Amino acid sequence: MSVAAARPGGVRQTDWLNGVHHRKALNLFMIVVLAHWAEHLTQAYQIWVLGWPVPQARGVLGLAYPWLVTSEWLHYGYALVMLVGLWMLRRGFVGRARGWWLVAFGIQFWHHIEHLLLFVQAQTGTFFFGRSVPTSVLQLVLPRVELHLFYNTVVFLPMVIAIILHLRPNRAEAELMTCACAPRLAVAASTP
Amino acid sequence: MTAPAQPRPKDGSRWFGYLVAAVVCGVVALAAVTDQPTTRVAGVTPADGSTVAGPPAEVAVIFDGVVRAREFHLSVEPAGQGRSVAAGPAKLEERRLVLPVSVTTAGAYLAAYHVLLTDGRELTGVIRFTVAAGGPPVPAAADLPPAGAGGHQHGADDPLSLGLLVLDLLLVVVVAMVLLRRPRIRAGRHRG
Repeated sequence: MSVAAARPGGVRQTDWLNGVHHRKALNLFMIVVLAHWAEHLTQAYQIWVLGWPVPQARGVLGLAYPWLVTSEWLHYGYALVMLVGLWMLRRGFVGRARGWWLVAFGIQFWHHIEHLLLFVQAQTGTFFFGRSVPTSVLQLVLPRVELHLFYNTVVFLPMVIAIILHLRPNRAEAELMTCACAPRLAVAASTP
Repeated sequence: MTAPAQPRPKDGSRWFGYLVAAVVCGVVALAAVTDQPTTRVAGVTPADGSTVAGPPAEVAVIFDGVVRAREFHLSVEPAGQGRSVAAGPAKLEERRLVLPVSVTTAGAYLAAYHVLLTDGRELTGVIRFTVAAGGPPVPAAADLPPAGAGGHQHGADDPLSLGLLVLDLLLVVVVAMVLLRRPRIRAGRHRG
């Protein structure tokens, strides 16, 4: 069975992204994601290891630009970048990896809705649920910091699983892959 | 003979693209039409450095405009004792941040406030005031609310946050290792 036959549907607008450029695009997307985590982990190091007060623990960027870290623009923008990235790169994933990638997309879709609610409240000054600060739906049961750390984690976990399965596929999945991430089947075939 | 039909993107892909574009346009338009003048502290009560004849019922920070805050904190305690005299949670009204207090003894007091605005900027400050001896009677200690109400609280040192961050650190390391290595077919899990 040819690879082309395994991917019915013909040419799509995002095939160039999910074909020869999929590895580059995935790497670029993951640099953004890992940079975001690096900021959170740096904050954690500042709080628990260096003993800084929480309001002063702003990661790396936040030391130079304190307003940036707490800006609703930044939080909403990152949620949107995540949503678009997960959607744009999904066609490169096949088999089990695609399923996990779509799980991450589904959770991020809701996470984005929550941030959109916060952003709209921050911009309009109209706060929902009778609160005096911008409040998202699940913030009614969990504090904001813990909630969004939880959201980011439950999006990141299936993403990591999808990437592992994508870059370490089994033979059947490797044969379905049409992107630049596909392992060399000829080399793999010679492996005992 | 007719030419084969040109494959078209799935309706779902196109629909999602339009949806994202509409959300982005809406967010930009919302940001353009909403005006957020910079809010400043216009005053505090009791005034900083003042001596009041009797125990105040509340401590308030007054702003020069309507406050759009993401987080806010206000705590009051006797100078050098670290024991909150809050009689309830801090409340953010349109132009005031208010903390009801139960002051039982004369002496010097410190109030600290921290307001995180939705544009990412912060308003912080400390108010020092003295309650003179010989004022009106104060409530008995048994009537006081639990200490700490309305204090400065951030969710960063709880087990959930710590556990999530440890998991995230592990995932970051794993995915970075996978991304840095050449893709290959997973050995020993061959199916079909």
